[in-house]
Amino acid sequence: MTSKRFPTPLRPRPGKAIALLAILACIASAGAQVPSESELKAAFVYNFAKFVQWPAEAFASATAPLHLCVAGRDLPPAFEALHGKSAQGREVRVRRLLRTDDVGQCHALYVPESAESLVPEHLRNSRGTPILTIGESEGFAANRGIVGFAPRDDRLHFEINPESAARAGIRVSSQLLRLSTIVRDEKRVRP
Amino acid sequence: MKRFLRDASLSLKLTTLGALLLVTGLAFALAAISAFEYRSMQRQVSQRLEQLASATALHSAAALAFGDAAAARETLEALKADHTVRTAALYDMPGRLLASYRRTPPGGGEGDAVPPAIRPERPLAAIDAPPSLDDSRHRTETAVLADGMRIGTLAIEADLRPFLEDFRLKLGFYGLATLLALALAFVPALWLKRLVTAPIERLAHAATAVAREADYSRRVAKTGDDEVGTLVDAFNAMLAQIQARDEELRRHRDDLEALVETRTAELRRAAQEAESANQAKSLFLANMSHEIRTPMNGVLGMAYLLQRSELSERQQRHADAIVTSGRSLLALINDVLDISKIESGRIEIESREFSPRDVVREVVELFALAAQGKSLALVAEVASDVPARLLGDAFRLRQVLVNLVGNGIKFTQRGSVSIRCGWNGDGRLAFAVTDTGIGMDDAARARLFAPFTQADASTTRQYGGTGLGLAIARKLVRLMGGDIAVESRPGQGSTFRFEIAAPHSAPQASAAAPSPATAKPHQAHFTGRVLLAEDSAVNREVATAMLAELGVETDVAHDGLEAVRLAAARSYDLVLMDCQMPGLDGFGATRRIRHAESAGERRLPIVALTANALVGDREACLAAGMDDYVAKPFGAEDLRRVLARWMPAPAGA
Repeated sequence: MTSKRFPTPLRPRPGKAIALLAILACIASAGAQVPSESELKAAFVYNFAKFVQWPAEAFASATAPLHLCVAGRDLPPAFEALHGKSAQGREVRVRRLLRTDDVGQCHALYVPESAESLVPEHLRNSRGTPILTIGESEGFAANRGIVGFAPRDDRLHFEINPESAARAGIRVSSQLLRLSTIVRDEKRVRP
Repeated sequence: MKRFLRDASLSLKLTTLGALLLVTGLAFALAAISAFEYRSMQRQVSQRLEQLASATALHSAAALAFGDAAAARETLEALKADHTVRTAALYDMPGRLLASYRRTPPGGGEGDAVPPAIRPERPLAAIDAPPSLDDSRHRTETAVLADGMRIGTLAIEADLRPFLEDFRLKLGFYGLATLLALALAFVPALWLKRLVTAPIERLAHAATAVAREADYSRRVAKTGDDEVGTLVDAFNAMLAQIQARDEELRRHRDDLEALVETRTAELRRAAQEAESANQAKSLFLANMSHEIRTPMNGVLGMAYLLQRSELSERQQRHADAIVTSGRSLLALINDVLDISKIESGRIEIESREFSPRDVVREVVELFALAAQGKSLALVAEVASDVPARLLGDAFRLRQVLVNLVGNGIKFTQRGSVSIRCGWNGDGRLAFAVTDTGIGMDDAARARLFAPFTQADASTTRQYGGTGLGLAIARKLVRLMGGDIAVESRPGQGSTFRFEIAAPHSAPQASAAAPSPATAKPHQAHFTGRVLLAEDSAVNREVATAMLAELGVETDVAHDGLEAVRLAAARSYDLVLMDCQMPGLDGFGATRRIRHAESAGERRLPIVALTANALVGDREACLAAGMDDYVAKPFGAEDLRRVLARWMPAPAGA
């Protein structure tokens, strides 16, 4: 893309643009000013939202907000900071998901390690619905989650289960797949 | 150069034109193709770089977003396929280098360095203008987008020179193709040129040949229906016209020749008619002359005889008047005959031997009595160097002198009339007739030689004459190869000078008829016997009476036959022979007499009496064998002169 044709979506909202740049800067300069794991993961989650595509029926309208739900009682500040950002041309709204049966209102569900116990239930509830499930627990993707963090070589890495994504009706960008480790469903399903 | 081109052959001009067109056209085409090719290549390169950059940017977006340097490097490595890319670098939003690609140079080594960081706010390197193909370091910067937002920058540096090489290769190929096209186009162009110039050259050759040989029957073969064909047609048509015109001209000329011939024939016929008319006139004149002279002879003769008879004083006066009037009439007739003969060109100037002195003497003798009657001195003077014998027409010379001297005596009351004869050498005989008479003024002198004029009308009344004398004199002088002039002043007399051509006579020609020198000029009485042949009774009587007076006996013959008979029967001293007689005429009689006497030794003198004063008569008389002639009407004096010339001298004189 040349600069002529370069779209400038940030220009109308300079304040937010500066905040975003700050986050990305944190991600990239791992060596210089090490961001916290929580911040890094929040940035990753936000980026995941950019590199996947929800089915159209997942939203009430073309401008409907994208709901990012964080399972569990705690909402880390790094995730809270994502509230009000934009992704997929929609406003990102972040909220805690206390009850597992409320998952239907979410477009993306992040299950932190602190809510690991709720993972099976969440996965069961979100099955068949276009919800991008992201988990921290080991084997999250293999256990029918879509994206699972998997630290490797001191770097934050992630696994993606394309089958789960296909079941949810979510298309994952090939670029994202290239950066990830592809996993498949394990036969053993947690009860 | 311009003059050279103007004078160059058509073929060269056309070749130049063709070459110019082809070279110019192909050069422009080559230039246009090259420019277009260059532009198109620029666009292609620019597009290709853009595509490369945007594809790479797209594929490296996730890696950049997630800070995955290894994945980013892997993505950039894909640029290895493009050998024009020297370096590629991926920077995050703050401008820090995430991953880079450096092409390994063919000779090995590190490759180009990549800037470790770029300024984050820095605007992308613009590629507004198409890249120059000789740029070895063309840098393109592209924004890397994720979900529509810029997350970093991709910088690619490319070496565009291979494209330039490519372009040059193409250019060379096009140039070669152009040259080939030029060569290929020239073959048909030359052929076409021949197609154009050949007919023109043929036409030019034909035109030159026609101009050189004036052969208008030539035609030029037509090769096509183009403008040259039209020209050929026009040329041929022109030739045909010229030929037709020539033909017409020749026909006209032939017609004209025929016409001229016809006209000439007509003219000849007319001339012949005129000639015969003139001859008829001459004959008429001769007849008139004869018819008038014959009775005049009678009138004058009888008057003369009457004068000699016993008459009273009054009767004598009347007889004198008859003689004077008759002589005037005769002179008039002679003059009119002369002028008409001269004007019709029928007078012929003889070239016979003569003696100028004799001519002058004869004239003096002729006028001696008249001058004496008026108590005038008549003087003749012949210069000593005047040759004794010359060639000329003594008769006509005498006529001129008689005219002038007669004039002089007529117009002089007192004093003298002189004749001077001189020799101007070189065959020119000169005369001057001077009188001490009344003279004339300039106006009269101017009219002097015109026919029928005298000084004035009163002169005619006072002095008589026809006024033809001087006109005749001048014409005769001119016919004799000279001219006449007059000097005169009123009351001072006049001098007439004239000159004639009179060459020396050949010595042997001097053996002439009996020399008049032996004649006895003033002899008045003769003895002897004369035979007179004359058919007219009156004339017989007159002549007989005159001859009796002169003392000769006369036998008379009434016609030619009788004359021949008498001549044979008796011996005569002289025969006077009338030319026109019934039966045998004078010519025939003379021939018979001469025929008869050819055996004998004595030649009988025969003198013709003719009423015809025309030139031809004299020749006819001489041709018939006669010795002299006397024109009718003759007087006693004429007879006396003839007798003096031809009769033997009298015993008692």
